[in-house]
Amino acid sequence: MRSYRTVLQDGVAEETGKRGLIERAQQGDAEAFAGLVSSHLDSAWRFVRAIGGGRVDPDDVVQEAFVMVWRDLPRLRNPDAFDAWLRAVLVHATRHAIRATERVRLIRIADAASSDTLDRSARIRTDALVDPHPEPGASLARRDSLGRAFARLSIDQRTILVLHYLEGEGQERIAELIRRPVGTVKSRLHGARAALRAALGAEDR
Amino acid sequence: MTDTRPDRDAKDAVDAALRELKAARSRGAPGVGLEARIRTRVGETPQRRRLSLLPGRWSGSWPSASGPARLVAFWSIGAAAVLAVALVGIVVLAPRATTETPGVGGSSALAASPGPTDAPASNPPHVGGTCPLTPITRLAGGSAPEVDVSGLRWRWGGVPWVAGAPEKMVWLADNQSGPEARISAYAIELNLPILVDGRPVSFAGAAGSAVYAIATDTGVDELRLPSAGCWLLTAVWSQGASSVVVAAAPPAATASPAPVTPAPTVPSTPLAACPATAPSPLSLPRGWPGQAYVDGPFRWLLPPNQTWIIGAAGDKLVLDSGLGWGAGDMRVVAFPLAQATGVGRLRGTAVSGDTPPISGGTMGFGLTLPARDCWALVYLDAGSTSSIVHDLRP
Repeated sequence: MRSYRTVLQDGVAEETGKRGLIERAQQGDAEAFAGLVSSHLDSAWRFVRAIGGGRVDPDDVVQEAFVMVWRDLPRLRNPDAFDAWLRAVLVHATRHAIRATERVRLIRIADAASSDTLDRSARIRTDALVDPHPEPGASLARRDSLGRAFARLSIDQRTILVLHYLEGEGQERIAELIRRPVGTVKSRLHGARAALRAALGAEDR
Repeated sequence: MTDTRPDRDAKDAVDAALRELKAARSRGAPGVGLEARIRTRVGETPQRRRLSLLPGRWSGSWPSASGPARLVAFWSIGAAAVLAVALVGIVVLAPRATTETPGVGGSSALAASPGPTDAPASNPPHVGGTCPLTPITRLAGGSAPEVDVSGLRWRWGGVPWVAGAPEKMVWLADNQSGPEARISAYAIELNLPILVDGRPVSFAGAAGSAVYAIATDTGVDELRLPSAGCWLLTAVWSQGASSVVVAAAPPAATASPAPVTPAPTVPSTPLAACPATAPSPLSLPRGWPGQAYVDGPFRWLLPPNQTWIIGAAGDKLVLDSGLGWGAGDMRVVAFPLAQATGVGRLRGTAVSGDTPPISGGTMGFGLTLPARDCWALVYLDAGSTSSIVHDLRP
């Protein structure tokens, strides 16, 4: 059984080690940055998949976000703010990706054998958010309906719901992350829940 | 208490949905190789250092600055842009007027180098979603539109493109005074509206994904586009490939879409030797298993031939742009090259790539090719084109 002191010391060491990685990466140490990527990749990917609402490929968004983080890391004045900053960059990259997807038009090729390929990316991949590997017996219709309802929300609404209900962040913390007053966070959470309720209702009809 | 049963049910439904989403969140994982891709990109991306001219608050660098900081940032960027424009004006434009080689004007400009009578030119403003005409580089001899792209100069007669009407075309390779001797040119109709009298008019469905041979083994030719619409023209020669996008108006004065008679298919044979673009090994990022090609400001990264999945979605074709990605209307078109016995429709069809998922940095275009062949791959957007030829044959 590990003592409380040991656990605390491990936590401090982990934080110190992470801060060291960030500071080394700020100096241009790519290996240190690779360590940061390794430790944050899974959580970043899940976050993007959730707020992307099935409209973007989380692999591509996360890749671009980490490249942005690497590029601008020397400008981060407080390494302790890295996690919050990474979240902000992920939201920014996802928003940008969704806009790009909406802007781009596809060539329609009338008699191409690969017309399915042409249309594929235009479809909203509603299964991307909910569960790409469903357990046996799961209701496909329910998953699709839930995914479509969530995809109806704006990215701001998805982001605040994901931060609060999926990531378990408190309202004060979210206020820091999105740089808005706590009152605004409360109001937006309320609005996002109402929007989800309406979207679920629309899917049920 | 004002809560009613339906409200409580709705609240329960929202909470249940959020619980399901939370439970599903733990499933799924990043794609295999994502971490390696990030390392590769990081290895070739320089870091931005803090600018001492800017206030500390702005250089804290969150994705979006706000308030006074944003004002200062915009002011700084604006001042830098003005300085840059002034420098470009002094450094680039001034020498250009004195270094152009003499040429001849009028109709003979079709076979001449850029000369003193050439004039800068531009297309009408691009309207999003319409035919992305390749910007005209200059008017040779004051009248002949000329486009420099991918190591080739395209120069045509200066009359508007009209479906079925001949358009005199000359191709001049860079660093050569005369026409390039052996060019094969292909045309693919892009199902995008063209501007007729300033109005977008669609001719979609006229030609679909058909590939036309419009010139074979020549440096000077009269091209005829089979139908009105937006056309991607690709010229292939021994040194590479080059593409432009032009709009052909309907032959009649009216702009209404006319029925089009399908062009006959001309006999063609597979190319004995695929004029594949030479790879650029020095541009290969560390860890990339395939090949790299450089065409002007664009770098293409292709998966290894043996792993390219034919007939199904597979690896992505990756493109970097030194110009940035602000142009919009991005797409990749691929078509198989063949040796045609004459001008007309070829047997193969063109395919189009998936929508790129993100604007910025590297683009990944999913591309499903139906066969191992000698493929021309063309990227185009509202401001530019880039073309390579890749041999996927066993």
